[in-house]
Amino acid sequence: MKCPLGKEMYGLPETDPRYAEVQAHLRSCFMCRARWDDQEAVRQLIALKRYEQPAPGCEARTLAAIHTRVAAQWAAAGWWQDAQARWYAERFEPVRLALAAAAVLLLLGGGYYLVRPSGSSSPARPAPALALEDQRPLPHPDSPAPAATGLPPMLVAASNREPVRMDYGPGPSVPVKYDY
Amino acid sequence: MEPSPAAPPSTVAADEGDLLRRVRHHDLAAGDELVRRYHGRIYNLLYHMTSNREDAEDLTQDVFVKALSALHRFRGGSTFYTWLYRIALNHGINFLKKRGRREMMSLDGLDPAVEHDPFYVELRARESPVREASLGELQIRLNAALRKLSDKHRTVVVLHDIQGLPHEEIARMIRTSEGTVRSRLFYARRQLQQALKEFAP
Repeated sequence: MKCPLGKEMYGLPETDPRYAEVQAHLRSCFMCRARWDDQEAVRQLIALKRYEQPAPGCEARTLAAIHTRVAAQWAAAGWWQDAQARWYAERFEPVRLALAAAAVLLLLGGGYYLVRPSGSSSPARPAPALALEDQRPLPHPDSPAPAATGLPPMLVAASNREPVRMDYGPGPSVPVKYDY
Repeated sequence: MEPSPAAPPSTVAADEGDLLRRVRHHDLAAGDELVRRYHGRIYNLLYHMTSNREDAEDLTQDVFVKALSALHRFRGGSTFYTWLYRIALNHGINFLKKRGRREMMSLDGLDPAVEHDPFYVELRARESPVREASLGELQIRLNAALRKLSDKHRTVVVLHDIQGLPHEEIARMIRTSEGTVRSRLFYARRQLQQALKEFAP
């Protein structure tokens, strides 16, 4: 038990599991015992105020005043507030529950939208496959140049890191790395 | 050290739900019944907070008018009694903030039963200023000391030491922890001890 006792230990109710430990400490610690007794003495002194009694007729006066004021308020409010009061009392609870459920769903949906893996909004696009003519083995440097096809030169790049085959027109293809 | 409550909060009778429903439908007789049930406790709370019986009477009226008019907002998340106390506490604290410290004390009469209170009898028997002081003087000193406390410290002293509510109930009312309630009580009593050092041993 910490000594001196913490402020929140003073006045622990007997039902508190720490109560027995505090009492054991108070039996062995003069300083904490004195402080405990001071607190108790002030409590008992101030509790004498409970003997103060309202003047006779106080309740009747208050009751009459409240009765008049509340009746006037209810009358002035008329049917509209009456209907509002009834609606709040009888119908608002289910509406409130439905609104709460909708808010929870909205939060869950919004939360999922925010935490979902990035880019999952559109399906992953596979890297473009090399055209069939680009998958053929590289020509031997001594092999004759392929015949001109008459087609315009075609550039294919699957990524800028891996060397890709590029055709410069009718001549032999050479691997080129775009790692800049 | 935990006092037993003067009257348990279980004054919330089984038929209270019915009373509340009737008040929501603007039944004045049901409103009167609710006021009768809680008038004493609410008046005492406000009286001990203000040390002025006229202010306490006016504030008690305001609290009940406000509670009965706004009953449709009471959702039953706590007991009606706790809800009403919370309104009274807020009303009392707002009033004290507006009023400041300028007003005079206007004290209720003391129940003669105080002369038989064991603690008072013991105080009188000791060599203490209480032996010489009249009950009226003691009452004025107690009220003056209480008024020197800050609102949050006075609130816990009134609710616990005078009205006898348990820490747990007070914590619910003022929306804090039981440890904070006990800690505030500790500080408040130390201040009271200074202000009442001739009386408190």
